[in-house]
Amino acid sequence: MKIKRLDLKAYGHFTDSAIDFDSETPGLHIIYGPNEAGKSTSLRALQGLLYGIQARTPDNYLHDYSKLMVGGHLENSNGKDLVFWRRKKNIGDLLDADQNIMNQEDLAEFLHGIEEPLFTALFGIDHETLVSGGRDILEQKGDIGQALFSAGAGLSSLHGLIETMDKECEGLFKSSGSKPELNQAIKAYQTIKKEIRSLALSSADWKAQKETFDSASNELDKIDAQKRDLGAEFEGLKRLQRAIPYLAKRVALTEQLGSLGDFSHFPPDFSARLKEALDSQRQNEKTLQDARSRQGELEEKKTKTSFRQDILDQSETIDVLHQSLGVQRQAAIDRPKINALLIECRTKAETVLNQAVPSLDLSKTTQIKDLHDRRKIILPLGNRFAGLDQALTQVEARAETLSKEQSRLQTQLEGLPEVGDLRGLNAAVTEARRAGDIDGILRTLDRDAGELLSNAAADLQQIGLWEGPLDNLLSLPLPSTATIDMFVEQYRVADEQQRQNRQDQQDSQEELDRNGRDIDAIKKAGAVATEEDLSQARTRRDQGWQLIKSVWLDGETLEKEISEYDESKDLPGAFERGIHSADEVSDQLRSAADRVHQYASLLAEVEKLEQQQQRLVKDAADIAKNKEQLEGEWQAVWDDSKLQPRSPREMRSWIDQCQEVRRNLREGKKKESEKQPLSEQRKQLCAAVIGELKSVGHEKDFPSAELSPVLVYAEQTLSELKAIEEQRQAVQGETKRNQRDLSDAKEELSEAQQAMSVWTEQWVAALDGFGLPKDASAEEAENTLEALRSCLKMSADIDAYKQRLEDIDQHAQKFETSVSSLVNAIAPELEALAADQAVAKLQAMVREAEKAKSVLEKVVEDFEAATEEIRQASVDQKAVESELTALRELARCESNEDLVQVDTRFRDCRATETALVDLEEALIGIAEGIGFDVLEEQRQAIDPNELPGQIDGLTRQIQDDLEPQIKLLSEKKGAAHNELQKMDGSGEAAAMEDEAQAALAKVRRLADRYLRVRLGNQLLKKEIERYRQENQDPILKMATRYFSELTLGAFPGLRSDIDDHGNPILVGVCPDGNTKTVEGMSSGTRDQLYLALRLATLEWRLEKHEPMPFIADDILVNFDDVRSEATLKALAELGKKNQVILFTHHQQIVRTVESLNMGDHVFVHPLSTAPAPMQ
Amino acid sequence: MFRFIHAADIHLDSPLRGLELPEDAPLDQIRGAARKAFDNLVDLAIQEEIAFVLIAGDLYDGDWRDFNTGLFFNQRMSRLKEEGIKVFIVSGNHDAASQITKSLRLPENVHLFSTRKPETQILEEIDVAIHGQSFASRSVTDDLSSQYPLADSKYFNIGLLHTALTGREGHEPYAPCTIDGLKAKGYQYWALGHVHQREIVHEAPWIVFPGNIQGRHIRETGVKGCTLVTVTEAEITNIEHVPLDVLRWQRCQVDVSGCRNVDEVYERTQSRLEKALADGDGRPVIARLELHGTTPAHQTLQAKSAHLVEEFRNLALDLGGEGLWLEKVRFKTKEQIDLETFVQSDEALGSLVKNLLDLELGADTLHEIDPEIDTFLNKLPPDLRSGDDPFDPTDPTQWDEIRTDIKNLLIAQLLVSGGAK
Repeated sequence: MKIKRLDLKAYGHFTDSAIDFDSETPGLHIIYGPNEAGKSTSLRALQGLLYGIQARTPDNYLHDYSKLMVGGHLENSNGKDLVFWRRKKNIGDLLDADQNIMNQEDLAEFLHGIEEPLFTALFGIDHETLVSGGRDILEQKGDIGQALFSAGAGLSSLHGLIETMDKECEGLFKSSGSKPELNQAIKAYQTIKKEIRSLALSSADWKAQKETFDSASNELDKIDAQKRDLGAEFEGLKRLQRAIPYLAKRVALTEQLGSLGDFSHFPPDFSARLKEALDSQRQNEKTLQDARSRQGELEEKKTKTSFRQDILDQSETIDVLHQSLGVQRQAAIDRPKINALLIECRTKAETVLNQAVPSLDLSKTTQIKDLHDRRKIILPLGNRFAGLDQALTQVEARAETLSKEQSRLQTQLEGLPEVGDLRGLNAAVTEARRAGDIDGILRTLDRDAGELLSNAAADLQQIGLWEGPLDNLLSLPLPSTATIDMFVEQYRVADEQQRQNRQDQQDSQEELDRNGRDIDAIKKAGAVATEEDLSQARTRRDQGWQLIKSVWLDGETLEKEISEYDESKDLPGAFERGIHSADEVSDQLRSAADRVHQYASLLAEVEKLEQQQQRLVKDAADIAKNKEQLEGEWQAVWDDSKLQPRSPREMRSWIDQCQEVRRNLREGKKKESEKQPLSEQRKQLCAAVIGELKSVGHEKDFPSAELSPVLVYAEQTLSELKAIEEQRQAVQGETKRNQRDLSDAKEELSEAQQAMSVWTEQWVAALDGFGLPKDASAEEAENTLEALRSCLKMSADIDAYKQRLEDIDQHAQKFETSVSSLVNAIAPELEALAADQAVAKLQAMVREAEKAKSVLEKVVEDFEAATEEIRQASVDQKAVESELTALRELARCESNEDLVQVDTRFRDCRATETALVDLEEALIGIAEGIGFDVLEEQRQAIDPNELPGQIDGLTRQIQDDLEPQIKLLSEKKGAAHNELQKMDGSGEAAAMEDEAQAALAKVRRLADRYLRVRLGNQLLKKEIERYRQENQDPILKMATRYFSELTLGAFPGLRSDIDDHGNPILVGVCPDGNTKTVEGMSSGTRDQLYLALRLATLEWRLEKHEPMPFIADDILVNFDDVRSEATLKALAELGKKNQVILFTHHQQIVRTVESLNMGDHVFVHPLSTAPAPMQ
Repeated sequence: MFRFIHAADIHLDSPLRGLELPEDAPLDQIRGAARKAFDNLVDLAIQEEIAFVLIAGDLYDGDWRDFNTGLFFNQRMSRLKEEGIKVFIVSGNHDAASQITKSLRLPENVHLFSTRKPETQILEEIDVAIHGQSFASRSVTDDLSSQYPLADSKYFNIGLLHTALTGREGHEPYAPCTIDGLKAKGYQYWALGHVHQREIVHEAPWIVFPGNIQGRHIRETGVKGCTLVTVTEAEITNIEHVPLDVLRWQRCQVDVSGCRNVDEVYERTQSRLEKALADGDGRPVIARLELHGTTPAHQTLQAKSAHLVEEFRNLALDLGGEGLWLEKVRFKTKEQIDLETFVQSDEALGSLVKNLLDLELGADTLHEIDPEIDTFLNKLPPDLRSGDDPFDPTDPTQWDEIRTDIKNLLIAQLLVSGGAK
């Protein structure tokens, strides 16, 4: 396959462009374009054409994805070609030459089942592939198999791939490793499994534990009961032992209580009351004494204390004066400062006012204010000026521009030619277009009809038998094929019958002959007796016997009969011979029974065959007659056609051919008849179009009657005229719009001027009285207003300063008057002092008087308190006395001393009672619910000396005997219980099994992967070796030639060698006969080696396969000029047999090609520079 | 009116098989699924206040020896005892092989039918007669049902039996019997076990396989649970399947025909996985993802399979949180290239594929391709190479798959990564 043409209808920056690859030989086509000229775009377009436009191609910046379209013209080596288009669509992206949807298969036929990835691999090469291929050769260390396979499959990193797979295998599994993933996974699985074994509980373990637990429980229960019994006895004795001391003491205390007397009528708090009364008595006496002495001291102090009441009465007035003292002092300091400020302010205001409006002075405040108030008018007015001014300027400028545009348009309009009415022409063209490809149809009809008729004539000549004019053939009455088929069948049957009859006759004759031969053979072997012979012999014998009987028994004389019977008249002899004869025949029959039988059946067979033969002869005659009749009928069938028929079988085929001729004839005539109206229609359409052309002044003569040149010319004319008309309409429209805009602009201009004059009047009026010129700017007016505003402000400040000075002076006056009147009234001794000093002194006097007054008040208060204390103590003393009297009566005592003694005895009695209660409480604790009486009885029943011995005995029995047993059993039971507790139906082992299965799943995944990668890799290596063995010799031979060319003879040879490990490797042969391994070559040389192998593979492939275009993308980038030249030569040479398309953006290559003058096989297709895509 | 539960093939504590877990997987969700499902059964029994539970064999897994499993079962049976619920069990082929069955003493409310001859248990208070016989050994080839007594007309009769009926695919043909044979006994309900797929074999009389209660591997997909039967005045008035499973297995087939690139494949996979997740009814779903169909993206899928598997696992995580697991991802896609023409050409790659596809599995094929393959196979754990689904490259089906995979692997590697862009 080769590419004859690449159409870039809408792709990248291309629109309706094309690259024409059509050439005598497939050729080397160099597509050259500087950067941005679209080299990569056209490469993508070529790929898109063959295999579909990429989903996310960047080539849509000018044409939308939906508009992208490339086209092409392909040609197969057998001369078949295909023109088609490709759009960017998922379905229906292929269109045929007429833009109808096309089948993928039609294109696939040209691609020979080579899909895109494979095409790219086998027939595409770019700089990157080249370099990577060269590098791979180095990594392969020259391994021939890999080098050949790489080139054969268009791979550039085969070695890398094999290595990657090797590494993956190693990473997955090693037979004696622990690190690879699979080894680890297996280990992990085994670990989990081990853990499960330790976690799992066997049923035997569980049973054993359960039994241990049960037996320990039972035993323990028994011993516990025993221990409880002994414990009870032990406790009883222990209790008694503890109770004995208490029981004894209880008896003693009861006796002591009886001896102390009866205090039952004493209140329980007797001792406390007594103590309290005696204590209070002592306390009261002391209090009375202290209070009285303090009263005397205070009386004395009171008389010594005094103060000035008149001063105190004025204390408030003095405080007020004292407080305003600070204000007075501050005012005296401030006053000169304020005065200075006042003068400064006034000077400044006068200066400002003088500068702004010299006609005014500061005192005319009202006038200043009036002027200043006018700012409400002046400021807005000033602001408006800028807007009005700008509007005016703009409108003026616009009016001028529009007016210039108007005259330009007018000139343009006048320059356009006049176009007539195009509707007629348009209609005529549309009509003609709608009629379709009438020329093509007519041509086809003409060709088809001619072809059909001449074929029919030739065919008729060939089948012969009829020689009338061709047209008459159609009316020729021919029998139907069914009739002929019937005759064919009848002839066949008749022939078959005849043949069969002959065969039967022949068979029958042969059989007859054979039987005759057999009969002769039997006869030759000796006479054969028959049943008939036997019967005759027996009859003769019996006749003899009858004669003998008649003669012998009846005595008859039968001379005649005897003589008739036997001529010799020897009756007995004859009879004897008769017996012998019968026996002989009988014997013969018996001894040769087989032969006899065979003989008989042969005779019968002969008879049957003779009859059959007669019948067959008759049949033959019948058949011949039938055939004759059939022949007659056959001839009759053809009577109407006046034809002399051949055999039905021949006529069967003749009639088919004749029908075919008739069909062609009819078809040809039909096409002839179709031509007429079409031709008529074409004439009319042509006339109509030409007429319309004339009417618009574009008359032209057309040599042929064909419609399409007329139509093409008319359409071209129509589109030109339409373009002019459209332009005219556009200019007219624009003129109208412009006119409208111009009048608008003029109107606006006069409005703006009007507004400006109104403003000027207002401005002058507003500025009256300011002393400003009439054309003063808004800014000037604003400055003046600002000055007036600050004057007004300063004038207000001056007023404020004056007011403050007055206030200070008034206050000072008032203060002095107040002080002097006060001093006169209460402290004339201070009259000599200044007002502020006098106030300070008065203040001090007030403080002193207040102090003295408060001392006196405190003394009076203390005195009253002491008096109250004395009164209270006297009352208390009386109450104590009456309490003591009551206690003495109760205890029947005379004095307080007696009372104290009675109290001592009372307290002893209470203590004893308490001791007894305590003791009994303790005893209750010991008795543990057993009554004191029972305890007392038990105490009396035992001997206290034996008690410790009994207790010891019990203790030993419990501690040394029972408890160790209990401890042992409890431990045993506890351990068993713990074990059983652990056997709690835990799901741990089961959960672990889940993990084990997960680990196993991982092992499986890795094993699956390892198996595939490992086997895949091994198989790939085997395939590489197989490919080498099959292809090494031819490819290496071709590669040698290419390599030598590409390296300019630096390596005239390339051959296989063996490396240190015995592997076949590729080495270059130097001119001096030495070899060089790939490691010894430069990287550029290795690139060329890869290229040589690729080109050799391609050439080798050509011997068995359809050529495919070889597409190289800028592969010469790193080649120096001489090697580039050599490569171009090699590619040009290949181009003689196989199309080569080389994309490049290096002009040097184009120059090289031109300088080499390589003749007819090399073509340069420059791409024109286009604007850079907008990204 | 009373209700009962019919369950079978519980295989307590048998693990989930074939599911590889990432290292940080929350194991609690996956672990002990069979136990959780069984807990669901016990909860259902209590909640629905049923009269009794029937377990039609294979309560335990045959080769599982941890006695804890039996103790767990007893604990759960004790819960039913407290609620007054009785349990009737026949043992099946797996139980017969289990050590646990032989050693465990069952609580009073649980009755295990005899292995020697058919036995009948009467529940007088609800007029029910249950007939059953356990498997005495792992492999019972006699028709046990033939010896079952005829129905007693005073009662509602139930037959409890572990059987493969006339045979079911993927199940050993133990205790064979016929539907007619079962019908002839005149029982109202036949509670069968052994077949893991739920099936109502016959209605009136009802013959039911409830299926197992929890799917354990990719061959046990879909909803799993028990059958809840309502009986009113000695007639069955309702039969309902109640899901008990705590996680579900699903096969997700994704047809990627016509996908132009990996992104589109990804999108289709996503919507299929979303559906799978929805089908789980809120349970975690374990899915096997199988991509098939003819697509231009085939080579890329093959070349990037490892990376894509990771992507799909992440996708599952994104979609389901921890509720969606991928058991396996299989790429069964086909190339769009015309393989026939490709193979017929004697290009380097064409012959490679041709020879690969012609590679027959003979006695020594593996060994010939790689003499070290035996060492590899011998290193694998024996458990991997035995069981229901053994790893065996010499099995014709597996070999077919391996061959196709190798072909895809090599072509993809050579065309996509080998330098042809």
